[in-house]
Amino acid sequence: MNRSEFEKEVIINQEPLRRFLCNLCGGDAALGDDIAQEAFIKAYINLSSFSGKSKFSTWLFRIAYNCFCDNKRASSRFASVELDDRLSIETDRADSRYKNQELYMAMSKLNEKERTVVLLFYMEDQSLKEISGITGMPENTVKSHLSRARGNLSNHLNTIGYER
Amino acid sequence: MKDDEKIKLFFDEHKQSIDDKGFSGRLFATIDVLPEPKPRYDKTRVIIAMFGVAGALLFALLGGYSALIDGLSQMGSIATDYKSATPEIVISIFFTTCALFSLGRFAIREAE
Repeated sequence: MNRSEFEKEVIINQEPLRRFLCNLCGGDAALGDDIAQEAFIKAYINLSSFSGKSKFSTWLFRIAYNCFCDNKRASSRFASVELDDRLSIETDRADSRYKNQELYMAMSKLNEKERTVVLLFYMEDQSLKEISGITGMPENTVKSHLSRARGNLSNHLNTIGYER
Repeated sequence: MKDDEKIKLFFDEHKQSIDDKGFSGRLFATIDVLPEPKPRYDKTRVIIAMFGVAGALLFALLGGYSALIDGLSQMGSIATDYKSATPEIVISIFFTTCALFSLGRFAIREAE
């Protein structure tokens, strides 16, 4: 893959990747963007190690997820479940701010692995195989995290009376 | 409404659209100062070829051809008289089959 092909991939993947990282960081868009930037740079530097066996997006998401884990390890900012206190995503409209609040409230009911799996599966439409490739977890582990998360989310949505 | 559908709907409704807001531009500017990534050099084929040549040399030097002919003629005699098969022969056939199966699976996975 050369520079111009990489640029095309950046244009295609920047939105889903930044959204995923922003949501994973509990709405901290600035931190999500920093991690996304780091992931894209690492991907560019290591372009030669992309074998093409998986989709480019899967490879990129894997790098980004590893960057997120490194970042989390290095800092204690996300040590506990405090998502609902840090709803700092910058949005202009009140309804979208309310929607984000609803989303982060729901995310705060899940542990980190469940959150990752749920965001990839439901929001970014990744398959179980792709999620397994991104997170490095076996497919069956992904399935069990997803199933537990589904139960927790369902309870939460029933509690808040979510019906559409 | 089923739980799965409800959750899917919830995430669809809450999916944010994130504007570029100069993100790509800043990224490309950073990449501009980085060295060009080196082209991919696939070592796998070289390694396979090296081991293939080494295997062929060993096969020729250690009299593999005559051993192969002997083995095949023994296999032929077992096929005609299966009662002469010793446990060693059965085990070696089993492991050879396993090795061939694994090799086939590896080849298929590599081809994907």
